[in-house]
Amino acid sequence: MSPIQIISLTLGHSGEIVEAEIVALRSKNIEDYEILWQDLLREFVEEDKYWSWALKERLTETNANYESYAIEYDSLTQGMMILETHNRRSWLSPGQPIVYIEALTTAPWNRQNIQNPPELRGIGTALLMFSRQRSVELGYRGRVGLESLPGSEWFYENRNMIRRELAPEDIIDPEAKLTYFEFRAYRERYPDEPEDYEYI
Amino acid sequence: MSTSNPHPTESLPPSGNVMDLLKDEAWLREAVRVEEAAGGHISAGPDYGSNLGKFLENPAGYQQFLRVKRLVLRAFKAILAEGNLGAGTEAAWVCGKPLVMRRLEEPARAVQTTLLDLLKHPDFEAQPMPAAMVQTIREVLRAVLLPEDWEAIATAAAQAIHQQAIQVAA
Repeated sequence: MSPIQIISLTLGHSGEIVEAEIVALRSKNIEDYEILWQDLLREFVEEDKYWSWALKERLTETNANYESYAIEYDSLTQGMMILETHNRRSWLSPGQPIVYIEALTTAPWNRQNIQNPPELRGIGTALLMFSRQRSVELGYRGRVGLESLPGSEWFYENRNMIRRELAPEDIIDPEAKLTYFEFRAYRERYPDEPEDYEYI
Repeated sequence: MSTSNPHPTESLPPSGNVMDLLKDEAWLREAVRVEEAAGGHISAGPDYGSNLGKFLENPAGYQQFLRVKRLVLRAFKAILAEGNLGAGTEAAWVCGKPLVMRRLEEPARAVQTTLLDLLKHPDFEAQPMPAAMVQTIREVLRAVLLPEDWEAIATAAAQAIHQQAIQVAA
């Protein structure tokens, strides 16, 4: 499979810069997850083991709004990301479309709480920047939203994303403990924009 | 809505391609430093646990499943709250939640249709949940939960109230 994007990452033990590939997610990546990642992720809570609900056979919503990507290096899946590209709207710029990151995750051997030093560093940044590039390509000016797990909030704040504090009545699933973050639009003026376009 | 600190608006790289930032070694090393300082915690989205693979295979379907599940559990919680169980409410929830999930593993086709139709309701994520939706899910729960399930939920609530009364007396 030809890569969609060549990216630079660093090796965890030496800091050497290496090249990896962003590819469209394929069955090999899911197999890597099932076979190689799972055993190393035992600290994860099995929250939704009832996915076996018979409903799944009837969930016919199209997948056309979703884009799935993986980072491959050394013939292994190093990270994965799912984007929702057409139905989400910005909180910072009400009504404006955004790319929404449904899931962004990295292989256990790239997580320093599991392996220190990790095999590779930079996976999260590369996937996050790729989501922003997709937003630019779709005409959304770099607007991207996501929900962060509690442990990842610091990372997204320091990547210049803006935290949205929800009013208590807006919290649909308090048990999930997710915090919403969003990238503002890039400030560049686009040819179709009015002169008084608000860059927020 | 409120937002945290006023981050400066960013500019696209001169090439117009965000990914070109990664070709700048200084930028890349700073990004790596931020990831390292974050302890490598960079995950976004719910913790899908062992179901991540299933989500990756069918993200839209899995999201629909999560919406149905969330609806059912929200309604179950509302029904318990209506029951005025007081100190027993939390115990009833802890006992009842896995029972609800289990009984919906293989529901009748009519129940599936009812649940999926709820997602077409324009206010399906409204807070509080519209009374008509709560009533629909109440009927679903009546159909799928077994008498022994309700007995277990009632027992859990009663024991919690009993424990509370003992603590008051002590």
